[in-house]
Amino acid sequence: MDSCGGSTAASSSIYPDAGSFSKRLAMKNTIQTNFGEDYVFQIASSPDISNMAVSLSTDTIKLYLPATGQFLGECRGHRGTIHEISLEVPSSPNLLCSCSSDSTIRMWDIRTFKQVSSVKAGCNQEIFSFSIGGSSSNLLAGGGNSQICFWDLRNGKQVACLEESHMEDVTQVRFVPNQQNKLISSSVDGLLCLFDTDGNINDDNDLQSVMNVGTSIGRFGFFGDMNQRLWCLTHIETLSIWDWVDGRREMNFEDARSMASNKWNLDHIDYFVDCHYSEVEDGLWVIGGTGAGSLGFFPVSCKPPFGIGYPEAILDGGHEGIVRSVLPVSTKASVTGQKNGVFGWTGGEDGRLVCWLSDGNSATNKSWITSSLVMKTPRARGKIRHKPY
Amino acid sequence: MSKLQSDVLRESITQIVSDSREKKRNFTETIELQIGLKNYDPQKDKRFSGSVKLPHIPRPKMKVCMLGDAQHVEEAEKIGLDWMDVEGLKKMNKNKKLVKKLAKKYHAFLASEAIIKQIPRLLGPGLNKAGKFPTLVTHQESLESKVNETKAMVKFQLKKVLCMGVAVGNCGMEEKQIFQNVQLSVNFLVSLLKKNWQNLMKYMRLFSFQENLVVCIQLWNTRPGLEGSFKDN
Repeated sequence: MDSCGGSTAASSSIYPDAGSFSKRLAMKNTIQTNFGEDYVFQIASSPDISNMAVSLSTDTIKLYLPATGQFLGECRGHRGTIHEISLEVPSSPNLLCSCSSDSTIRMWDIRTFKQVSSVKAGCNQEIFSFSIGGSSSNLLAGGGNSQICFWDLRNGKQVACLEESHMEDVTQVRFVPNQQNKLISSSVDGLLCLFDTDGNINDDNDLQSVMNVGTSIGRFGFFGDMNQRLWCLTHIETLSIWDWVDGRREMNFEDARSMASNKWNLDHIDYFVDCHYSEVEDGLWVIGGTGAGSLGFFPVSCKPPFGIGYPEAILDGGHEGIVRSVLPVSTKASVTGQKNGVFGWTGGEDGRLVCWLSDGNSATNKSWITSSLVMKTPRARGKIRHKPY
Repeated sequence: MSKLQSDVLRESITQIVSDSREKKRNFTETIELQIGLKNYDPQKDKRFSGSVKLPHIPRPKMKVCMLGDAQHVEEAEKIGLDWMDVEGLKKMNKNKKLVKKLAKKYHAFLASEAIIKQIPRLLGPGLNKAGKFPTLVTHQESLESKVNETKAMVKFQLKKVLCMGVAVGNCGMEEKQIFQNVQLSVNFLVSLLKKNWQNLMKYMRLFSFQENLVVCIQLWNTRPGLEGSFKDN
């Protein structure tokens, strides 16, 4: 099981009883981030995993050491919901970047926890997502209420604003890794737009292609050879796979929640948290969760026959509510390949941060894991759920 | 499994449809389902928005236009669907006024694979801004069923207020069809809420626009003393 590599991952779906392949992870420790009703929104880490930032619904960001979970300090200043944070500011390892409904994108020094700079979008312009890139890596893009704004990072001046391409909130913006002049955006209006950000940016000439997902888009990410494919999760919990170079949809899992639910014995999957891509194995996993807080890493077969396989990692018993963010400790690591050590961190609406070990057997906190759920008869609940599609 | 009270819902639909037939109008009234949420915080809970395909078309008069290649243009001609070919699109030459006019004329657009890729280049972002970027139709699927599928899609979106509406039908539809549309919409929306039925207010409303007639339906019996439905002008 520990040697579970790419080939096993891909072929596991043909085993009728592949459920036994899935690995139940043990918890290392849990941290209660607050003692109120507040949520953990997102966990982000620096590229070398030396620091971890956590955004909370209290409009603050807390910093921790990922290895031990030690609390380092917090960044206060935002006056609205924080929608995205990142510790991956190019060539500035000590900077934390965050955006919020208070129309600002702020930079913080993680050694002092003080704000070092900020840019502001127009009045009442919430910012839901940002990305740093451009052909000279000096461009900061922010997605707001039906706008995408661009700033020059060197002087903080706004250089462009695209107002025509989306008609609803822009939920995510991303510069294409290894083609930094290209930007992809997603929106509640159901469109993925591809822009060229060289020179003067405007809607009329720089909108290169549009992919119509058809329903409000939550998040997307790059994967595959040369990052030329996209996974896309929607607010109605569907998953689709796109080739953005071609502007073509390769697969649409309209009933992804039921497909994943059928692959495990735990409760019905209510939502998807994220997708995880491993370059080493060229494998994509969709992370599904239940209302009670159980998580599964389900492999997605992105070549025909398309499908969702048996979960290769199960994170059960750590949360008591919806999980909002999963941070695998090494983004390049496979789901099951790592032996010993920390698998990753999760955070959710119960306000908890949970650290998971990659080896299920060396459980330190066994009392947390409910073995009764493992033994539950399959499909006890799934049948009575309504299937709208 | 639905917690919706079928009898009450049936009665309410009958009421709303018969009331609209009494006062004859020159247009078909749309019936909207209004749902109120509770235990939901727009500041921190996940977004509640998207599109859902209903079993029966709620707005049959929706105008759809096919932006097609030669084969699709021919098919569109056969089923009496408005169309435009690449030459027609080229003539617009990214002219904002013309694109806006085109977008206004139709409720939705379909496009062939060869055309859909050229749309940003030929028309610019005009259709994006109108919220009417075309849906792809391939040659493997039937054009007619794609048109019906497009007409059967309805959008829902929760904004800052905890109440939202979904178009579920019109007064010209059979009552059974309206019933099925309401049932599917409610069950689908509930499956997206974290506390499912506990996130819904006890009442939801069927709302017919022009009549200003509101029918309230109790979702389920929690307090036996309450009336199942009532009318409110």
